[in-house]
Amino acid sequence: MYKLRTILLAEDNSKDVELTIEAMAENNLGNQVIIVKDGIEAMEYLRREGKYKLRNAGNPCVILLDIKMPRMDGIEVLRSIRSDDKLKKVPVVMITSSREERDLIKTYELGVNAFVVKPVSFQQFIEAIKQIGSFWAVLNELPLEEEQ
Amino acid sequence: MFNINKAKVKLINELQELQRENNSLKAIYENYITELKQVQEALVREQYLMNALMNNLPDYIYFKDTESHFIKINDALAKYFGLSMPGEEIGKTDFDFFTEEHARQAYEDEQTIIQSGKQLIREEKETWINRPDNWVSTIKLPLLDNEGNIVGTFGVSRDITARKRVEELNLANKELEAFSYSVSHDLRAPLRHINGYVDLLLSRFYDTLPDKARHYLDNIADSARQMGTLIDDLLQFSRTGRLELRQTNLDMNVIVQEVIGPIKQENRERNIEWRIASLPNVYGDHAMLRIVWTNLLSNALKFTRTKEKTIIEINVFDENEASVFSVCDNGVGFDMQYAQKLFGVFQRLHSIDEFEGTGIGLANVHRIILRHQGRTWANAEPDKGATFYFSIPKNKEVKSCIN
Repeated sequence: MYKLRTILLAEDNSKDVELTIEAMAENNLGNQVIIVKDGIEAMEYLRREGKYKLRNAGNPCVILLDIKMPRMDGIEVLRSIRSDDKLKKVPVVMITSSREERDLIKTYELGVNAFVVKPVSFQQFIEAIKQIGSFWAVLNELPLEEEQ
Repeated sequence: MFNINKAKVKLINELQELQRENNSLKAIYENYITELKQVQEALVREQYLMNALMNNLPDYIYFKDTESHFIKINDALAKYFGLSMPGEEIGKTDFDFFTEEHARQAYEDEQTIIQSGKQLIREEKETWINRPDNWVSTIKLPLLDNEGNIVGTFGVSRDITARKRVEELNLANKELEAFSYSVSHDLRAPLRHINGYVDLLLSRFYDTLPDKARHYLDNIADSARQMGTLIDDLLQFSRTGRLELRQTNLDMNVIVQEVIGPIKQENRERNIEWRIASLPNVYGDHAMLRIVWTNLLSNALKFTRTKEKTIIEINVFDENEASVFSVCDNGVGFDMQYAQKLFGVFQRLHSIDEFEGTGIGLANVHRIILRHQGRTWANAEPDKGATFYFSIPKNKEVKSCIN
């Protein structure tokens, strides 16, 4: 049977988390969504450290990163992922509140896979989540992960 | 027995002796004179070099005694202090020119130099009794006499106000950028949440909501949308003032077509006659001029909405080495009495229920054209349409688009 892979969502705002999950539910996106509150926690999850020490091995099929987060922002997380041999192939999609040219330049320089501005209208947001989910969590193919 | 010859010989000998002494004295004197002349020449030369420094250097030079009274200042500083008589500074102190706070700081610095014998280098703000502040880069040193005793201080200051202003401006700009970056992120997020929850309420509980509740929710959503537009417009306004102009040779026809395309698409159902003249090239920033045309044309469309047939005319004429572009419509127009308010931020001549808008569009047009060294103005009459003009100076680098 085809196994649905996990999506990692790094987002510090609980309302954004709730609305994103609602939008995923509206789209019947069945993937498991792991929610982390900031960049530090995202890296702990990805590296199986701290409270994620005992989680099963395997990378998410996509990492959805907010840019503005406490402790460690999304751009820092992206930098760490791309410089980590075990993580650098994982697709990363920035999901942020506004289109800032310098964020676009910086994240593409660091090798982001996509950059999405959260639409103010919820209907458009649902549509955006639908497209992100159906592409990265369903359609997109990834290389096999080496056994760890 | 007086021997005249002997006496003669003696006298001659004495005379010769005197002559020799005289010669040697003369030699000493001449030598002395030569030396004196050399010293004098050296002194004149020193004086000449000193004067070259003191009379011509634009930096401020001063010598002070141990109690910080001026002993001597150069011409630049005398002029700076507003003194006209040579030596007028003697006996005066910084307290005669600067605010007490600044003069006291300088006095304390000089006392430190006198006690430590060490130089002091710093950039400082000078606050004056009767003029605006300025910035100087200063080096102050102990003044030594020939025996090596410290008898005062001297120093050189260079005015760096222009550089400091640029630094301050850059800092203010950076802060503004950080501010609008934060605004665009942080103001948009709660708006998104409002929209999201209103939407969820309407979709999940539509059947159980009373009509009144739905009406309230519609209004909440509408206001959130309006605020979203306001934030976007304000951010754009802040960007058009901040971003560097990237000017190139541009074909205005191309920009106008780029802008009109989507406008035509959005207003398919309306009866619009476009009258567009052939436009010249200009030297300008493509993205910013597109904002200008977008604002002017969407305004023309907005304020003709109530007309059965819309006529929009785009024209150009030459005036004083500039190309003047115009957008003329047959819309509701406005009373010229309020014309001077048109290009100000948040200025609106119509109610929000009548015609939507944030009152930033024309302010943006004005700011962009101003940055292109051009002008903006308008002509209108209530119910007889409006014409908006903007000029862009012609530039040698711009070749005509008509070959």
